[in-house]
Amino acid sequence: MKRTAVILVLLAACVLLSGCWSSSPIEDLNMIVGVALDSADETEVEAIFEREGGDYPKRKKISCTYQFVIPQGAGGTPKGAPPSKNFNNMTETGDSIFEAVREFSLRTNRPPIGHHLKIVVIGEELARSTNISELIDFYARDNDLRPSVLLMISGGKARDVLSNSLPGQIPSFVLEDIFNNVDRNSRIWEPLSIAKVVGLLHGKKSFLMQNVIISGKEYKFAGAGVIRGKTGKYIGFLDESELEGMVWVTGKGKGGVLKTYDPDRDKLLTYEINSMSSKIKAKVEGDDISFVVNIKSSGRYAEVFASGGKKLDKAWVEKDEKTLQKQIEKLAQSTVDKMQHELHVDVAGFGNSLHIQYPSVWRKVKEDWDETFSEIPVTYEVKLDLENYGASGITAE
Amino acid sequence: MVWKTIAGLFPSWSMLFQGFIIFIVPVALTRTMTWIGAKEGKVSTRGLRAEGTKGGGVPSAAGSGGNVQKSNPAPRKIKEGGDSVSVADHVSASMTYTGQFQEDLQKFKEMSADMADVNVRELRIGALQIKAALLFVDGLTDKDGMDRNILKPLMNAMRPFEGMTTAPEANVLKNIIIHQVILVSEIEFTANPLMSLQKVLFGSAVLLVEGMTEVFVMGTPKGRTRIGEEPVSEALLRGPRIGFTETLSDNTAMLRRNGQNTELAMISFTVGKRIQKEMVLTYIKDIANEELVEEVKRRIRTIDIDDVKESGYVEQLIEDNYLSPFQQIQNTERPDRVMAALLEGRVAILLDGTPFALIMPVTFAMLLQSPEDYYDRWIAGSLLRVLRFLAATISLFGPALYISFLSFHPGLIPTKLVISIINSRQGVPFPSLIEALIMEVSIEILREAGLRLPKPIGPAMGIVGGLIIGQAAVEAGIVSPILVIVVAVTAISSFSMPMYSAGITLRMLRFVAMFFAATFGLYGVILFFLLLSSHLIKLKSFGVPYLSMAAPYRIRDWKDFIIRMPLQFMKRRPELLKPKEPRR
Amino acid sequence: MNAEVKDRITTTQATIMMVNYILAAGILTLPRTVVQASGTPDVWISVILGGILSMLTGAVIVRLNQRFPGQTFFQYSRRIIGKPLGVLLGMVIAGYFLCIASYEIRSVQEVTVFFLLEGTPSWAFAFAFIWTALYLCRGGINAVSRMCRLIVPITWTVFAIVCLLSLKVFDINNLRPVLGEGLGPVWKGVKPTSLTFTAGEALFFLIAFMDKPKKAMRVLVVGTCIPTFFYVAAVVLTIGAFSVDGVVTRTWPFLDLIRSFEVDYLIFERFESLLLVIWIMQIFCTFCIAFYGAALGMSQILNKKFHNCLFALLPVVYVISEIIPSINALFAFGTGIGNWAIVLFGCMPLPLLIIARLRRIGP
Repeated sequence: MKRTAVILVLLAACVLLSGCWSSSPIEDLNMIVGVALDSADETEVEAIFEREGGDYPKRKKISCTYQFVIPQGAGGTPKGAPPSKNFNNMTETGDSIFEAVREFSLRTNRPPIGHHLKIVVIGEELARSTNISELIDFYARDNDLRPSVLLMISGGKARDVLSNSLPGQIPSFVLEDIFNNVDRNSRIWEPLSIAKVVGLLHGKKSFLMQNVIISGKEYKFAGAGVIRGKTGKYIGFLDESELEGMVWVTGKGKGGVLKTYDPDRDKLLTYEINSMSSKIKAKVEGDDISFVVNIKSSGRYAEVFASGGKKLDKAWVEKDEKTLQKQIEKLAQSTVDKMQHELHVDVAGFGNSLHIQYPSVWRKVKEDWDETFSEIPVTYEVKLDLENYGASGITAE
Repeated sequence: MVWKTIAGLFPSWSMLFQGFIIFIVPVALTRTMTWIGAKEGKVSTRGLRAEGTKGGGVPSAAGSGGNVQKSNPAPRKIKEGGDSVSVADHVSASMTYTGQFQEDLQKFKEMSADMADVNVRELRIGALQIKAALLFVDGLTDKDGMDRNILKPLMNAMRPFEGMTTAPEANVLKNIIIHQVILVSEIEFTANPLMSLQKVLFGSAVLLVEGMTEVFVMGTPKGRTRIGEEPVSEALLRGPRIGFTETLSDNTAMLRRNGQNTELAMISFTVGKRIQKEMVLTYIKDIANEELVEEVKRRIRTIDIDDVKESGYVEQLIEDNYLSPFQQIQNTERPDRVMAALLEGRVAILLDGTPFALIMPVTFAMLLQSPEDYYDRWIAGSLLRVLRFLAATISLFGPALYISFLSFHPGLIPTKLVISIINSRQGVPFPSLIEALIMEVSIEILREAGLRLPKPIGPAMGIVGGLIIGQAAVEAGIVSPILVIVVAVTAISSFSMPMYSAGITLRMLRFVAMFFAATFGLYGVILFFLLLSSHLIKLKSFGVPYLSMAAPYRIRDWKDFIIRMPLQFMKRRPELLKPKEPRR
Repeated sequence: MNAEVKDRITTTQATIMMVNYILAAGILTLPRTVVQASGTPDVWISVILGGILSMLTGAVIVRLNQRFPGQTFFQYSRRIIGKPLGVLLGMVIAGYFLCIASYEIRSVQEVTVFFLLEGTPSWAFAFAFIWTALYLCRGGINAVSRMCRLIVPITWTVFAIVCLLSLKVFDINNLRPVLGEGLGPVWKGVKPTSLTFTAGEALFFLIAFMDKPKKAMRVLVVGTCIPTFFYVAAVVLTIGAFSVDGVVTRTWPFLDLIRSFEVDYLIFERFESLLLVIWIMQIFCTFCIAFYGAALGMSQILNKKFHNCLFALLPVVYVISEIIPSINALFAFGTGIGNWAIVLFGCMPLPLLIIARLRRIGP
């Protein structure tokens, strides 16, 4: 009964205070969609600003490049006209990422908001010298930014990754969407969101970050950067084929291609992956730890050049399966080799398996796991099923 | 150190001031409301309101606060066999007519005591002046034909009785009347008063003659009366194409015809001080809760007004809470709807001079139900009901959510949507609240204008308003296209309410929701929802909690809430009405 | 004694009130607090244990209440231990309810102002919330319980949806190995659940309103099991997504869980709005129940009219919620309330029950 009156008062309050506290019109916001972090490297604009007095006390450590979306206007661009550039990058060099964001409020009338930030690209140089947890601290703490933001590493300058794209496209969105192609290609590492990375960094676990490289106007996902858990710094790089091996070891792929040559005839044999899975089994005998990686996959012939074979022939299929299994083993082996002997880290989850299977053993070795791991023998068991040969029953003649 | 912490915790003056405000505002409000209530109590005759025990349910007798289910055991055991048996209990002492005219007539009158539409016309037959009475239901019988073919011959019957000085034997008299007097083709006899009452209620005329232990049942059903066409305000695709008319007797007759049941009570009231009008309270005796009926009767007696022009007057004068934006009494033009409500155990009021009947009590969910839900198969019915709930939600919260997401939480909507909204809002000069208000108000005006216009122009108006103004507003850059979509969807949603008046409530509240959203964003919308729910939870319609469907005591009642279960499963009447006979 | 006690609620209503009372602010922080205390992924066992423990203490409270049918604790405590002590104890419990109410409103304010309404003054936020709650509470226990009933289908559906969606980022390996560290850390995780599972105290007055007090035990068991299930789901999902190391770094882990994924093919894409909506509703219910309990206790102890007590407590609950200076103080306040609850409702009812038995008070 008192409701009406309550409402009246509240209405009066609304009218008096209208346009209230937290509201800000959506069209006046400057949406950040991507961030690139590089080691300090001022742009020309900044250099001029600095000369003219636009300077403040700071240690020049990081160059933050923010990517904003440019609204296209209500009616859209006139039909037929080429789409104009729909994003805008701005760079600010300094030591605090937050200060850099707020510095943009001096450079543009529309306040930047981070709700829709999709991707943070970190330059290799910066990652080598700075702990990742320092770089993402702001992104993990801020209230606007979501923990779903993805992290990547770039072999070259991260800033360049964000400035290249085909007309009409926004680079950050393109980068984010490439991760969806994981069912097409097995050389993509799983997307690493802030939500995942805070746990890894806090637990001092080594991990991989998808790497992206650029050439001219185009970019490519290529390999992955390795971050050492102890230091949180970039220590090395798995190239594309090593990453493929890593995907096989961890079984995290959803599809893709496996190519090899028929050893007898030296003809191409390409296999399309339908499914893959892997299980890392730890074996502990006394103080000796060893691992068996159990890889399983099924798929079909995609492209076969070896002529003369009847694909229905069981022996033939089994031979091809063997060939492919060997190829997988080779890929996996080379990756693990690199981890153990070159990088001295475990990013494939061997430690995790040990932890789950032998918690007590794990407690003994976990302190120096990355080093311990380098000495541990790893064997592979690969099982591959060729289930199908597609619509064509014969091979190329 | 400790003291410092404690001192640091001491609230600052501004906080104390805020604490004072938080206290004083509701107190002041309550005081005001009490004052208004006192004012109202002086001028109104409403007096005491029904207060259900347990905060819900139909008011039950004092002291029965303990147990709901047991609080209204049927006073008499009702046997399975149905209605006629229970009526038979009533009159079992006198199963037949005795032949004593006064006694028989009295018996009949008693039986039809609460059926004001049963008429008794006393007469004297022909030359011998034998006492007789013609019993019929107003509106169901063809009065013209009855006058011509029954009354006139009976009263003028001179020749058949020539040479008689005293009334002849019953048999002789019966033969004379059948063979020589009455000009009606369909005649039956019965000695059973109950049977005769049934016949009367179904449209026959019954002739009670002194000295005869049987009565004449004459088929004199009315031909086509002026039956209302399909109600404009409640159109249905499937269902009877009939609506109430302005004539009370027609309407009661319609109900009788709809439900041929001897337990259908019709109690007549006269309302209005200067201009008296007849009003009929109808319910099914062995279903409706007695306390509910008593409460309705009591409230009707408190009506104190010069003239009751429309049933809307009655509605406003007997409803529980006149400050609430929600209607607490349902109005309808459809006899089938009234009948369905009566069978659920509710009561209805028909007023002379209006086709709108009032049904009470009502709950919020009932306002979203349409008779069609039951006529269609249950899957379709349920889907439509879900759709209507969705529509109600949209029409209440649509623009409010638009405002809150756009002005407060751009982070909570999908990125691509944000980009397209930003693009579409470039150059819009107003904040989203003003923008939404402009469009909402103009669409309300359009709707009102379309209603007043003559029928052929109405749709054209809608097109002009909806399409052209909307398009022009977007082109002119005053509003964004997204908002036009929101407003249009909202408007259409509010049309999908089966009850027009419920739609109005939602339309009105939508504006309140918009202001809440403009103050607190999404939080404001939630608060508004909670406030609205709090209000609805406390609101009662004739002792029945308004939201009882959504927050029922018994899960069973949910069968007919959002999902309409197949008819086979709906064996129980809604428990919240506390019907006398819970099983169907 | 009071007119309000004539109001009756059914067993189902009481159960749902109980569920709503337990499900509260804690769900957002619980994963962090238990993991901080124990440091293993097995904390879901701690949560289950916490639920069982609170059920046990609740059982004592139920027994105690059933000796005094139709009476709230505030009414019968003086019969057991004499008037001065009874009044004192009643005041402490009423104060406890008041603090719970303040704690809830402050938590909802912290989260909402941080994530939804940056810049809105806290007084405006709190005023709107408290007034709405006041409006509901004036309707008596029945109105409060119906509100709980009304929001239950909404919150449960939405909760189920967001939980299912969060499986997208769930990784079972983060929860393994089970009991790798043994039972020790699991026990350590039980204590922080006390604030979350402050359950029994609502029974101090709920049972008095029940139409069938005999079934109070059922209310307790069902009313504790359902929230335990929800809490376990929240803890398991959060740890599964963030891993033990990640959970401790998040202030509001469960909310961050929902924020850490986007679902492109569903119209919402991001679901924290839905979660915040149901969470605010849920806290509204908890607040109302606690506020109602405080006002009821005060009115019965001081023999004042219930509505006046509601009004009188408004500024108190507001000031308590606002004098908390920082978020750490808020969490400390929460822990304090939890400890208070352990003493009041874990340890106190048993002696009372024994005294009542010895003195042969009650039926």
